[in-house]
Amino acid sequence: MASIAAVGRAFPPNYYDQDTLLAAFRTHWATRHFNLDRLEALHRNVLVGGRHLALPMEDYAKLTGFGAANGAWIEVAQEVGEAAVRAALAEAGLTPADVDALFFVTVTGVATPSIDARLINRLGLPARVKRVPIFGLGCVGGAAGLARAADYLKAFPDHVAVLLSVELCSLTLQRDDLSVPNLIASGLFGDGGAAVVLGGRRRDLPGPRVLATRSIFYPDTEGVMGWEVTDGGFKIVLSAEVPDMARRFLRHDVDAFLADHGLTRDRISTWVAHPGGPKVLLAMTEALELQEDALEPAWRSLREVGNMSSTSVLLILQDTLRRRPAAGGYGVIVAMGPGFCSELVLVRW
Amino acid sequence: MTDAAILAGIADVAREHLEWPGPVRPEMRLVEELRLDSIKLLTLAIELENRFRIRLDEEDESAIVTVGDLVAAIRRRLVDRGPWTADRGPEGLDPEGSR
Repeated sequence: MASIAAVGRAFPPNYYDQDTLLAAFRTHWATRHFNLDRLEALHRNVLVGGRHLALPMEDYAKLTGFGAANGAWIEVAQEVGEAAVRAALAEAGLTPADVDALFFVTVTGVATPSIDARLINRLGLPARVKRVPIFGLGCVGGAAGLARAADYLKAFPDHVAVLLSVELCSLTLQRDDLSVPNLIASGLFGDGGAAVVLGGRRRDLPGPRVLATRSIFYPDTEGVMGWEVTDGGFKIVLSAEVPDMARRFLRHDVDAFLADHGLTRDRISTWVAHPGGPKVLLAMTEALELQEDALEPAWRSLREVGNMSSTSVLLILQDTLRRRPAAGGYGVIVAMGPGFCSELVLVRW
Repeated sequence: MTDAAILAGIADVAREHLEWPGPVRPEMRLVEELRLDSIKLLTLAIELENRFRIRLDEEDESAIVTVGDLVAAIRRRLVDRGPWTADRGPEGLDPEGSR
């Protein structure tokens, strides 16, 4: 079974606290909305304290359309992606020459050649590297990317796979869209990237083992979350049902997954959860009947850097690894995203 | 402003922002009949505040079950606010009645 040897992270250098961002948003909102205090309360309710942005704040007004925003995404995604992969490889004690496969997940920009291809040049990865760019999984992409990389390593147990997630959510923000979903998104989502180095069974790299993975798709829930692709770019689709999905499905799905591996929820020492937002984290805590502080690393990540879509769960995995969970204990990595769907990864620390 | 005018304003907002194609009557319940979830309720509140240049507060909202309750809450806020003058609103907003 695959092992998770290291996680690296990288952020664009522009960090803004929520008050600074709010001041700029209030000026913009005033062009259409009357009760700005209500919108500010909506922003504050997501409990994000600050976020990294791909560009300096003043540069966003210059992005006149999808081409300009996506062009900036391609530039910054390469920088953030390169830094995250270098950090993860260094942490694992490996070099670019050791990498056999590169999985790249994102939902915030498109490129051909894809970012993984461009990183072969920038990082000096071997020409043999198998690339798997994955677009469109959204918030579930970090956990699903880990699962797909672990699946790959079953077939190639002597290989090293790198999963890279880069999300520059701020470059998808539609300035003219002053709907409630976009107002929530503009308060919640941040930018950055994370990379995970995984080794196949025969590589025997140190680190937690991926014991099993599970994908769960919820039929006929396409409208819960996603993008509407417009001339201006990616416009957020976000329904109030997202926390309900966790409340309705997660306990049953986690229990069934664990039961197939002879486990129950009380045997899980550590939960690594994607921080969709406060309502989602509360719904997960409730659905899984967890202690109030069980998802604290997810809450902290949400406060410090916002929801970074597929990247977030990997940051929380890194924080969890740094706290060195007791060896031999079990952990579950859990995320939900557009589809609507869940991805579960069972690990042994 | 008459209750009928307020009701017409609510119907406009429901059609434009909540994709509600049908009629809006005072006895209709917001959650059960207009099928408004938390995001749609928030959209309704924000757009009604924009349209009528009022601020609805939590006290108003917790007591609102039907469209009729909403009409009454908006009427109260319009009375509290007094007549609209263009120089009292945030820059860029049209004065009441221009729609």
